Amino acid sequence: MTCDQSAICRVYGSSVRGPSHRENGLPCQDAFAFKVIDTSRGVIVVADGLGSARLAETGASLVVEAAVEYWCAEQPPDPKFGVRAALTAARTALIAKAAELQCALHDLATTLMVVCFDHETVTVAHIGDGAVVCQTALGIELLSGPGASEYTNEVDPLTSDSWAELIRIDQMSGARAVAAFTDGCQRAGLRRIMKRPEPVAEFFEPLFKFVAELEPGQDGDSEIRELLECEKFQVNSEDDKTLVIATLTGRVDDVYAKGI
Amino acid sequence: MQKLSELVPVIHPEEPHCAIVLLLDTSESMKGAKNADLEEGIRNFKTSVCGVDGEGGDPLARKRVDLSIMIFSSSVTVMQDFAPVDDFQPTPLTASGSTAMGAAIERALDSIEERKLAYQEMGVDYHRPWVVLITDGEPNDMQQGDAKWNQIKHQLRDGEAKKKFAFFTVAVEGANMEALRDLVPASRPPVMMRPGMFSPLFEWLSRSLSSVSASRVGEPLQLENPTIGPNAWAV
Repeated sequence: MTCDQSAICRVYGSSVRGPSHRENGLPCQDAFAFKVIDTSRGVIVVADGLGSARLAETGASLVVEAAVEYWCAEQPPDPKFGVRAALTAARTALIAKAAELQCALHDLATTLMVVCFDHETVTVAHIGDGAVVCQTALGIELLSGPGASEYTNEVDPLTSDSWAELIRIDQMSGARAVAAFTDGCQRAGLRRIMKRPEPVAEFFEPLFKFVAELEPGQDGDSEIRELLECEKFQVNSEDDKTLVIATLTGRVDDVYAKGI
Repeated sequence: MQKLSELVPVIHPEEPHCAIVLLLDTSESMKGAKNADLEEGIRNFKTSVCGVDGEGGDPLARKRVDLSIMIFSSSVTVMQDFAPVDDFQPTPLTASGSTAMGAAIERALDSIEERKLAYQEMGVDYHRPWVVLITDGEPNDMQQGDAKWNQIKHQLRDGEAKKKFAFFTVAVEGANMEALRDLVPASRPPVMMRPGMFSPLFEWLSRSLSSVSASRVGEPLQLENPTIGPNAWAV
């Protein structure tokens, strides 16, 4: 996955296996994909295959590709409609894959975040856990948090019967950067104040600053991979981890704008 | 240029916690071998989770399980409030008196709601709490079908249905299984322990808590069936 260097917005990301999957010889069950459609519009899709699903990695890979493919083919003008439609297209692809493999839909269970952005807004359709965080003029803000499940090991996937009611759509204006990440990064990136998740500014500020200051040609993907694989991150969570970051502006008012 | 991994702090190292209440019947009928076996089972439980002299044990369960022990006879006593299993020092149990099971269940359910609130205030993630009731009798502080009985029965069924907790009932020889089956949710019926099998029961509990501690998002709990296999301790 490489950054589109010609774009004003730039996207970097990585998925790594968690310690428990490495120990047990299991594959990474997270997946992500993105596409910058022109210099300032694009889509990022992140999925986390459920550990309980037999073909979790197949489900996660499939839905990220299907959602990006839909987005690029349709280029929907209404972002809220578009992210929901891309999520729906991903579920349709899962159903077709389950029929092809003659397996239960739940065997492909995965969470999904479809994040689209342009120079005005960031919009997300989200089912399950993981989160999307934005950097705005006000600071670090949560756009979409983990689902409503009270407990740490329970989540509603895209394959749920009640998936349509479980979709959360959120939108934010004025974002300079956005990060989407799976639950393996949640303990580092979010803290709960009472029941409400809040982004950890101390985590995201240096992250966004670093990415915004990357020169064209520098390997942001590897930097993120090294972060996710470093000791302090690995001991923080046994889960697979995915982190995708987009810098959205080359605007002169962007305090971190450099070399774009 | 500094590496990203050097620049970004990970400052929220709290482990997700799992609260468990052991709700132990220490009424008169537990006197003798049953009480001694129960004490030994609890000691083995601590060893299974914590190991001995730095050897063995389960590192995740040690960090994540918060154990509370309540004993009940004519009244309910909190022998230990929620704390890591490492902090628990098993002490002898004295069996006497009647069986205030209704009050004990109420106290246990209240305590896990308080614990969840404390986790929320601390910003700590948590698993669904467990209550494990071990009894060889039937309640003396409520009668099957009376108002208190129906209230407790409703609390247990509603709480299980809403995933407020997981309530396990272990009946020891002499227990009124019919009454227990009526009281606790049909989705998690009581199991009858084989005579003298307290230690295998607590070893099962230790392994089960290890599974919960290590479970990742989306994974349903795969608990061993206690009635089959070489480790079976129930019928």
